[in-house]
Amino acid sequence: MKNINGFLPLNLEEALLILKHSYKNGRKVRIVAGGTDVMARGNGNQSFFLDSVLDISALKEIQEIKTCEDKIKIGAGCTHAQIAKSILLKNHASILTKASSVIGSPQIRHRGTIGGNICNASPVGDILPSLYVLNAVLTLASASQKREVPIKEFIKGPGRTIIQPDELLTEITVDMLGENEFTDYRRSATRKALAISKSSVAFRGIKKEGVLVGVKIALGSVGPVIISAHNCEKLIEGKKIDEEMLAQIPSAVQADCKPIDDLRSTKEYRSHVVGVFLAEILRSC
Amino acid sequence: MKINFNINGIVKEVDIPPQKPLCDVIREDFGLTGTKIGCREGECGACTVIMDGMTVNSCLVPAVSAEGREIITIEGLQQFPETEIINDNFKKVGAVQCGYCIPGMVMSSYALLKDNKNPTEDEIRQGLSGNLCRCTGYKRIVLAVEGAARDLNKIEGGNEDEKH
Amino acid sequence: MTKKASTPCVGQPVVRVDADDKLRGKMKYTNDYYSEDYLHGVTLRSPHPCALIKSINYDSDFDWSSITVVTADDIQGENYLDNFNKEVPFLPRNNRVNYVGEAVLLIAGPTVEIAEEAKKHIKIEYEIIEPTLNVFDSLDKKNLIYSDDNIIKEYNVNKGEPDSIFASAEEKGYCVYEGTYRTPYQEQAYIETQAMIAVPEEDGNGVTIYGSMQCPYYIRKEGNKLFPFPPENINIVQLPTGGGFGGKEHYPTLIACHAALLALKSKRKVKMVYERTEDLEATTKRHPSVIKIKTASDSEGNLLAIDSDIIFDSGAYSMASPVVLARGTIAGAGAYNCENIKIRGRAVATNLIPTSAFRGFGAPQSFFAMERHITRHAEKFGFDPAEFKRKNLLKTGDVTATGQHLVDPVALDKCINALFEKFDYPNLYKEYSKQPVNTKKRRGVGFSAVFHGAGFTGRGEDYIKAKAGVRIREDGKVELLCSTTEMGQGMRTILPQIAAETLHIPFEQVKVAKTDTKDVPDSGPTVASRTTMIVGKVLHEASKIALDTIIETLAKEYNYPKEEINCVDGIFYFNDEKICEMKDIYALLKKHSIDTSFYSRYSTPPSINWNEKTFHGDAYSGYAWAATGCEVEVDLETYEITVLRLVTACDIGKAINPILVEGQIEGGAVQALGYALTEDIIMKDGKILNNRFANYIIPTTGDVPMVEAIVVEEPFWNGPFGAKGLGEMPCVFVAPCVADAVSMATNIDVCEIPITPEKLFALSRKGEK
Repeated sequence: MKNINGFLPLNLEEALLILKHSYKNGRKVRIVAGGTDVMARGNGNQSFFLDSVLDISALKEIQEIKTCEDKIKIGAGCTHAQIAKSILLKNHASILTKASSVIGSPQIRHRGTIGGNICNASPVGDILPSLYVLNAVLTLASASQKREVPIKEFIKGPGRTIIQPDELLTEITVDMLGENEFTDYRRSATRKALAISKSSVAFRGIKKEGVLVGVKIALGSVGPVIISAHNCEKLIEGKKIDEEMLAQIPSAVQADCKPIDDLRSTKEYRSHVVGVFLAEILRSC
Repeated sequence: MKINFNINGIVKEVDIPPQKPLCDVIREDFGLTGTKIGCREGECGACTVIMDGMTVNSCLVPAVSAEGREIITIEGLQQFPETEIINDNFKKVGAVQCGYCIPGMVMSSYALLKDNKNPTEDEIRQGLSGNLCRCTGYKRIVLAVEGAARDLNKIEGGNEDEKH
Repeated sequence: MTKKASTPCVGQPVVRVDADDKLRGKMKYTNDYYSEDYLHGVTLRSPHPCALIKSINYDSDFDWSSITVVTADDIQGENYLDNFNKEVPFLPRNNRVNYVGEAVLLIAGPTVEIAEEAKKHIKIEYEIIEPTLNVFDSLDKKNLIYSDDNIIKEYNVNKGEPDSIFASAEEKGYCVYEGTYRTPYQEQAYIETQAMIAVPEEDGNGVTIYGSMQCPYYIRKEGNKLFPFPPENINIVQLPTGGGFGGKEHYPTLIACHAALLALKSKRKVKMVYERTEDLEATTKRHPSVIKIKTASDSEGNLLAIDSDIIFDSGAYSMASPVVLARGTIAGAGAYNCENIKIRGRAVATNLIPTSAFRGFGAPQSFFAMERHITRHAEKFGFDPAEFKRKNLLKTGDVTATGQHLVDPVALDKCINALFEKFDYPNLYKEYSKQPVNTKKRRGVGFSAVFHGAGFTGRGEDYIKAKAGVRIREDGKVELLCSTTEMGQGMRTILPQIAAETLHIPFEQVKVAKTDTKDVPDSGPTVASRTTMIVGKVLHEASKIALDTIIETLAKEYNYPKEEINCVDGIFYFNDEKICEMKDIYALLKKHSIDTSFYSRYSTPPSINWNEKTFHGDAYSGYAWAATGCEVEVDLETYEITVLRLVTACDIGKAINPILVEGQIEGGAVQALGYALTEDIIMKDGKILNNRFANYIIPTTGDVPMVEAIVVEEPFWNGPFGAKGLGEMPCVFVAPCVADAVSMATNIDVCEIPITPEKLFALSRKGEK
């Protein structure tokens, strides 16, 4: 096994200094939060661990969920289990608890983190579509500065983000849902647990006098990144939910999605199911 | 990297690469082979251990993450009276076949029952959904956990009675 | 007064003997053995489906001092498995590789990582040959890859005159229906991957191989050909095995011999454990099939003729294909009584992963096709499927496709009655037929009836003449001597139940001896649902011989009439007077110079007539029967399928241990649910793409219902206490049931498994166009 440096900082400042020094010395660092993805990818591929491993699982500062004015701040180190169980999120951003609770298995949810899921930037990440509709803003910290970036600008492509080698994702700020706001998350998967989604829909809107306004829709697993479904949003925004509108969903979905055929599903099925989910959500709200 | 492990109450410092999977530390450095390896990617759950009270796939925990945490493996689980009851129920209903998934199943069952004294069938199925078994079809494993929940409640109920 | 009878043991839900160790994590599997002494073996595999190895180049900059490499050139003996058509090589013959994942050479190093690193420093130069990647190209003989026609094996079953029935069908107004059915690969997906440890003798003149396996004597026999030393110098010890399902029948022979080759060359102990990906990419799977069926019935619903054309993809080598195909061909007409039958079975070579044994062994494919076809035939011509099936299913006295006269009771009717009592298929079928079409969710039910011939086909047992024995130990315990392996099915519990009952001693006094070829005789491989029925029978006989001998010896010793000596719970009595206990027997036998081990051998009943050439006669000495029903709910928009109920009534003769029996049925049925709904191997250019547990999708706890098993006991005259084989049958009957139920719920005609939402969706669109 490759002999590399390991770091287990106990506070954020220390972690950021390690990143800074490594960067300065040209040493590449593999950051490990829960390890659920990193360890699977590093199995049989030691070079994946780069020059050193920085474990951030002991950073208590980034493991809190709290309110801040009309926003909720979620520490990047919060586990899926923690989010799924959070009363605060259940009350004010229930879509996140729903999305977190379908990830992997209990063991995976006990370790996997929201920050890890974001930094993986996988189009199949279950938590991402919900973060898109909640207007998530990410806090990226380095030893010298802090910056805030909307999630959409953060993720550039499958597995690609704008994070810098000396930066750490520390916090995710999401909208706190208003009382009349409605959200839902649906996904299809090959089995009930331990499954990666084949396609998913995150929905947000406000029901006002029989119509939906402020509609935001994000789609997972149907493109190289999470897709903001503008055609679908436009179709639904301010319109009455009736059969006529529902009938137009499939073509709006078609216009938004860029799915592919892979081991899990087909592109036709993926877009079809997105349409089904969207219609189901609209009927139920 | 020198890392301090606390496995089943035994504290030991081991000098190993930080990315070494915890399952290998448990098996190679601590000689505890009850923790099985089936896939090394968190799918099968055969390597499930309890870390700070929660089940984790030990194949996905890098050694460095285990520093300062309390780890319980299937060997360590034997010290708890609940384990005896779980074991008895697995035996009684015939929930064990080839046995390779079983240590992981018992870990998950134990954690599930700690969390939820009266799990429904659905909750049991969810609680064990990270543990693949290819032999039993799961039915008897679910029945065993149901039985263990009943027996554990009886004992606790009994103790309550004694108190009164 | 003493008890007149021993405490019953057979038929009791005895707790399995290995459960406690397994629960506590104390059971040591192969990979649980660690030693500083071990070298670790890895395999360099072909990335090409068909190629010639032109050269093997070792990087001179790499430190090879701690590395041992074995290539085909190191093989002194015969470089092929004898069990098959003498063409499955240990390492490439004539420098040719025939599938992606075939072993090219073997490497051992002080750690897995060092061995893997060494692998990267070996460059193989290949000359690519155009591969044959599907059975139809193979049958077209685009490239010749096997013999002169690419057919590894062909069987033909002919009964009556099916051709003349079909020819006259139009004139006579018969109902004729044709269909084509497809089944996928299936991976055994045992949770413990393949693992072996080879320990060489110090003088290099022998080796002991420890590992995870189903058939120790297979390995020994092949090792004897491969290695130059005397046969007795190779010994095989089976270690606790974490599931096999057929996947540890033949392939472990290759791994064991690979480990031994490395061990003998390096003069070190060598451990080889496959990682999951390697296991998924390189080891044998269930044969994919394409099956065409044509049937004719009259207007009364009498089945008149069956014509079935079965094609199995064997992959690059025969492995067990000929015998798998035999079972598949025999099942080609389903469990139906029909005067006119034609079945053609072919196992075809391709440059793909070799297929071989998997629980069910050819029958799941054929029964899926035939049961689904009969339902379609019935529905096409307006018959109630259950009535149509019942009318035509085999009954006692009928003659099977191969001409076997079924003189023993056919328990299908019993099974169906038991099933319908718990799962009222006929009424559910009627009720669900009335469901509205335009709903979000719709239900459907399915029903299948199957047989499974236990033990080897025909007189196959004659080749092995299974030998097993009981050994009386000095402490009064009895050891069972057989090479049958425990892989989860429970033989270490069931065989002692049979022996204890026969010997009239308590269960706790009987245990199975360590599975070591040095000590135990060849009771045959642990396959073909033959453990309880065949090995159990031999042990039953051996136990009887032991008890008779003991009683005779006691009679001699004490001068009692032997008729008045009996054994109750391990204590011997003359009338009511206690003579001695089991622990005294060892000394007694020694005193009388009688061997303390008692053996028996299996012989196929003389009444079994089987002609392998014409493929005619008594295919199996005994049949297990099953009737199965299932209910599904399908979301008609997402096409997601939920299996709500799966109920099966299985006649297995006698349940030696009811809990273990039900466990076998439930587990096999769930494995078959995976086969029906999610499991498949996806390839590109012959390379397996879904090579991980994250993308080879087996059921989790959340995906399956509580399988309801009903045990029917129609005793088999030649089985121990009436028992028949059981292990494989649950993998046979599920898929057609599920396909029927999904078809009913969706009105989409399913002819292919796995039935994925994607396929249903595509089929539904096709219908619209």
